[in-house]
Amino acid sequence: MNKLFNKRFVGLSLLALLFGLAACSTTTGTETPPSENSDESNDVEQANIDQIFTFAGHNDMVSLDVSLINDEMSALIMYAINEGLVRNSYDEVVSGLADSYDISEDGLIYTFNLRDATWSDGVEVTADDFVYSFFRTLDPDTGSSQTSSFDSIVNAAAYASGELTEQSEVGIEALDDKTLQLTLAVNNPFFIDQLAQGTNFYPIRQDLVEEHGESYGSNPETFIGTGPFVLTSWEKESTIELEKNEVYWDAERITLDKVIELIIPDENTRVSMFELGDVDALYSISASQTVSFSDYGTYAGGTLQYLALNSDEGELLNNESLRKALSYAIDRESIVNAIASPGTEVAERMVDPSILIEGDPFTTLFPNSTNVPSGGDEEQALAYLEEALDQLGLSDPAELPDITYVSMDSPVHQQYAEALQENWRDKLNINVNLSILPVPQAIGALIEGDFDITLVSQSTGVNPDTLLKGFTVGNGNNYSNWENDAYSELITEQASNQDFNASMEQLQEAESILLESAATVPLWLPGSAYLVQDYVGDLHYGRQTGSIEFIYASILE
Amino acid sequence: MSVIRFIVKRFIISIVTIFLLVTLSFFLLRTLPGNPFQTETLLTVEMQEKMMSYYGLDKPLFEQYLTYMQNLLQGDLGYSIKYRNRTVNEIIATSFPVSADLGLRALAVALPIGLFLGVLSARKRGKLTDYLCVLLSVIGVSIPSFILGSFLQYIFALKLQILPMAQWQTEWHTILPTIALALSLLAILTRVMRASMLEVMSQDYVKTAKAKGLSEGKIVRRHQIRNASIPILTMLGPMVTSVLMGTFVVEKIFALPGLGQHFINSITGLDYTVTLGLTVFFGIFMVFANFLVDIAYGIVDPRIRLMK
Repeated sequence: MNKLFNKRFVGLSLLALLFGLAACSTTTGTETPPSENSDESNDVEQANIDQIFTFAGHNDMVSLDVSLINDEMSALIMYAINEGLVRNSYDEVVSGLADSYDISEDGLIYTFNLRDATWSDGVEVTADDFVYSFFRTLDPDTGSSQTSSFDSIVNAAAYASGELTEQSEVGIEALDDKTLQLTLAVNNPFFIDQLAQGTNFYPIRQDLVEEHGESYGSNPETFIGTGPFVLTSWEKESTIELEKNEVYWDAERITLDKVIELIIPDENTRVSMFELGDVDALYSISASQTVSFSDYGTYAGGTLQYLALNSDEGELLNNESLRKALSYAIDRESIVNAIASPGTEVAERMVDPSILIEGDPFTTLFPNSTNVPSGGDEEQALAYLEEALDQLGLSDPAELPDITYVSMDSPVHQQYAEALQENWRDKLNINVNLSILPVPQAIGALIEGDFDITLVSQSTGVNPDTLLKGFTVGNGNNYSNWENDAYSELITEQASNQDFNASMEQLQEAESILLESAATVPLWLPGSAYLVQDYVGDLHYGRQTGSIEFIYASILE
Repeated sequence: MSVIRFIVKRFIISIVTIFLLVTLSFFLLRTLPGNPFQTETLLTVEMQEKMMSYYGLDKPLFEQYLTYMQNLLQGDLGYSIKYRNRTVNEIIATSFPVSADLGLRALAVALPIGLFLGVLSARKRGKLTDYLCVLLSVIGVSIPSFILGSFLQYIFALKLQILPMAQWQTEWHTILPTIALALSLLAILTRVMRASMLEVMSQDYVKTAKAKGLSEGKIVRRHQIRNASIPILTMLGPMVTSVLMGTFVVEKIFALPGLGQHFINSITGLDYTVTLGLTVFFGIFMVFANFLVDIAYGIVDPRIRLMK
């Protein structure tokens, strides 16, 4: 028995060695290495150009359920396999499943006329598909974390919280099969942009939800969409495959026949695969990886990173002069150049410069700034520090109580924390302690106010008030715990102001109060670098997905 | 009869072990600060509370524990909190085959070669062969798999272009990750086998065997290897379990859809149900593997047969 066992082992190991050698010799002889593309290379000889686009993502998508999606990877795919009333394409809002829409005089009633479009299985798209989807997302039993996207709509928030159960009182209504009416609580000129940006506004097939229940949207068999592509395969944590939807209303514009997303968590592996030509495009590449490529593209906007300084009563940073000293000491430009991902832009304020009002950036129409130079201002910083020490009755910065900077444990966040710590130590002689925590704990500390300084990344949205409205008194997003009644009043007033220009001016005024207080220090708008092979045409990097938009792309050669 | 008693006894002990494991993990996991909805997308406090209550995570901990145990008894590990509409059972069902496949391949390479080299280097103690084997095992133990994996990718995929870079598709895709995982296993096995052989070789019964004129080959096969493999068997239970359950680093570098990533990601993301489900699965597997090892002891060495 034993003898046999050992002989087998030896035999097996020899076999393994032989196998390894054989593998080397057979493949060096053939022209293409064996890979998942091997069956595609056969087609190359038959068709002129194979319209297959392959890209690598760093994470798998989470769900195909429109009501639940809250991650970038799911949105990226959902954008291609489903469609909303309007669509964000090449940074412009274009028509989607709605052929046209009318806005009432007062800007409150939006009437969408749906086009003759079908789901990918041929079933007609109706206004009820949208009504069903919106109410399903709002329904407390669905457990969606995205209900606040609907806050502009009359009584949507009340319905989402369960206070109101009568659907007819919510401003969502199907007038007939092809007409959808949404009623807003206040004039919100950014509403169309919100609709175009959010995959949570896409329609859902009621019959599929009812058929599959909890497993709706967990695999290609339980999902049907209306978009330019159809999901044909989803191997979890491995590969996602899409094919052109032949019955899509605008199918003529779609060139690609097939899109393959490979899930490759490791960045080195992704970049090597790009070098090998296994993938046609990559995005979100870190600064260190771009060194070996001369022609990478960059893109910024969509997210703002700012420091929240805990300004709560009784906290050390309740002292405004000290906050200003810290703010003026930061050399944002050097940090962005040395650490941040390529394309990152220094931020001057709490509004994203890529937010447009009828084609013009909000930031040029309504200027504002912290007035802190991007390289910092050491003299100003020291002057503010002296003022702060005076107010606190101290003579030396070393006498300051401990200041804790809470950072997430990702490499980039840690590097930011260390660079900022160095700025404060070198320029102000203030020692800031770093507390590096895993994501949930770091967010926990942020929400509990258990920090002095922390870096917050927040999506800037399509409405310039997205971040600003969080700093009102008692708001859950007011991480700085900064309390200013004048500010809160302005924010509340502007939200219900029916005069658009006046409301934007109020917003601008409120922002200057916030920036002046230095309760929050805008740092930068993180950028993203991307790589595309020469033979890919019309690939776009847009705000819609925060990554690549491939639906109109093509393979050129 | 005694065999059945042994099995029944072991079965009961196993159940108790797994029960304690689940209970401890359940409560320990919940002592971690934070909640699964504190993600980088920054939900408001109200929204977090809403989600906590949707998942029943705001109920008294003991009540949640009872619910979990009830479902567990029916084999239901619940829904993942992160992957909303995927069950933990589904996650295990899709990821485990990949991890197990890779693990078995690595073991199939590492076990025979490792044992062979261990025996060889012990037999050739102090000679060049011995030093080479020891060198190989030192290298294997000390090079972390992420370095080895990247190195293999660089040579075979990027430079020579004879093997695919990553993913788990064809037989060709399995070669590099198998080597990356096998080398460290091989190194450990070589070291343990060598040490164990050296000890056995100086035993009295080996001298007796020699004295009674048994051929060298027979002594090695019948007396030395057989006795020297006891420590290997002891190692094998935990080793096989952890290898089959997936390895985070190799899976990440080679983009393999295995279980290892779920272990790590669910803990950092506080996806309680996934962490617990995987712990239960791991526990059952480990207990079963150790049970097999105990039976194997009896086959290899009649002295430690547990039943009389």
